[in-house]
Amino acid sequence: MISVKVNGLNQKTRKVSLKTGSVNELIGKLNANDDSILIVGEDGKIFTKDRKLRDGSSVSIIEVFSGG
Amino acid sequence: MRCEICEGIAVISTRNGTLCETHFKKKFESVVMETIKKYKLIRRGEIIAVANSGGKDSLSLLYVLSKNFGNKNKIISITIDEGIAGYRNKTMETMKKYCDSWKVEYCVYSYKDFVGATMDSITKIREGIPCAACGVLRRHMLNFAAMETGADKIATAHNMDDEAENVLMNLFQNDLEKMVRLGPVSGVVESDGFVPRIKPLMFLSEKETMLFSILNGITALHTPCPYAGFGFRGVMSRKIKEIESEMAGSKRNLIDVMMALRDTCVKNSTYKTISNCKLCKMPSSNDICEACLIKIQINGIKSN
Repeated sequence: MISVKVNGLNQKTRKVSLKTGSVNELIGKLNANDDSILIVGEDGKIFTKDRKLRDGSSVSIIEVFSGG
Repeated sequence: MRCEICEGIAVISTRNGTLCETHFKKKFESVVMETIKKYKLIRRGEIIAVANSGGKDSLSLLYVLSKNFGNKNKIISITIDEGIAGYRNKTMETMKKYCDSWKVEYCVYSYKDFVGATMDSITKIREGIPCAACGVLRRHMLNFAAMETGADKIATAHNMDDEAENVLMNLFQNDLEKMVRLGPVSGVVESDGFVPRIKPLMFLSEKETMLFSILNGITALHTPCPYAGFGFRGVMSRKIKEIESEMAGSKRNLIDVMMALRDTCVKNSTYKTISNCKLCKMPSSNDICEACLIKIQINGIKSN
């Protein structure tokens, strides 16, 4: 079990516990879907859903929405 | 995931490929260029007015068009200022900055000048979903602005998600005529006074467009319109993204169905002919266009 800090979704910061530590698991825990968010690591790199997160790491969520 | 071209770390995996940052940026531009070429969206020498809201989509489009067509076409940026406090004024600062750096002429037209009211005040005096009136006024003003600036085409930054939403909305509203007007070029309506609208981003998803803007340092205001999410479009937008997550490629499939229907309808000419609005003389399928009806309604309410 690992714990990651998630910033950004609904303007909130929260800690999420994960079993496998994958981004895909995190997306499920957030009740989000892969097509509507981008997940950014602490170094600003974009994560695909297979990426494994480290215990204690932070990620930022950017919601994908139409501008205009 | 690894980039399918160079084995570097991938930043995205979509129908357009599993790609690293470098190859994703190249792929994005190549999809835009292929769309333009395949559907003959831009011809050498044409004046292209980019409908620029200052969001990630329109700034990405303006960036790609100014980079790839700036030396053979005149690219101008047209912004419709709806008058939404705390939103449009912020995005206009961003737009001006990018237009200056990409050497693109920047024009602004406002609802206040056309209707005599801002969108904020329209929502207070007019019942109904704000986006309905706003969409009508914006399309009308874009056409007017394009005519006034001498543009040959209006390039809008509608992406695959927008187009799939439009297909589903028209389907649920049983409006085949509107549906077959969709596509990379607003092709079934041909009329003097109607500047054709082109959609070079139509085969790129909203996620790809957002990622492209971020990776290119295009710091668009990543804030949705305060009125967005109301009504049917908001529902469709959320549902389509859910479906795409479950079944990759479904957005593109929806668009392909629409394109096939469109081809059949154009061949059979089952769509209505267009005349002109009796008040503003702009193209309209009715005696008085929807924009003028809204203008009359708003001014009527204001005077009472």
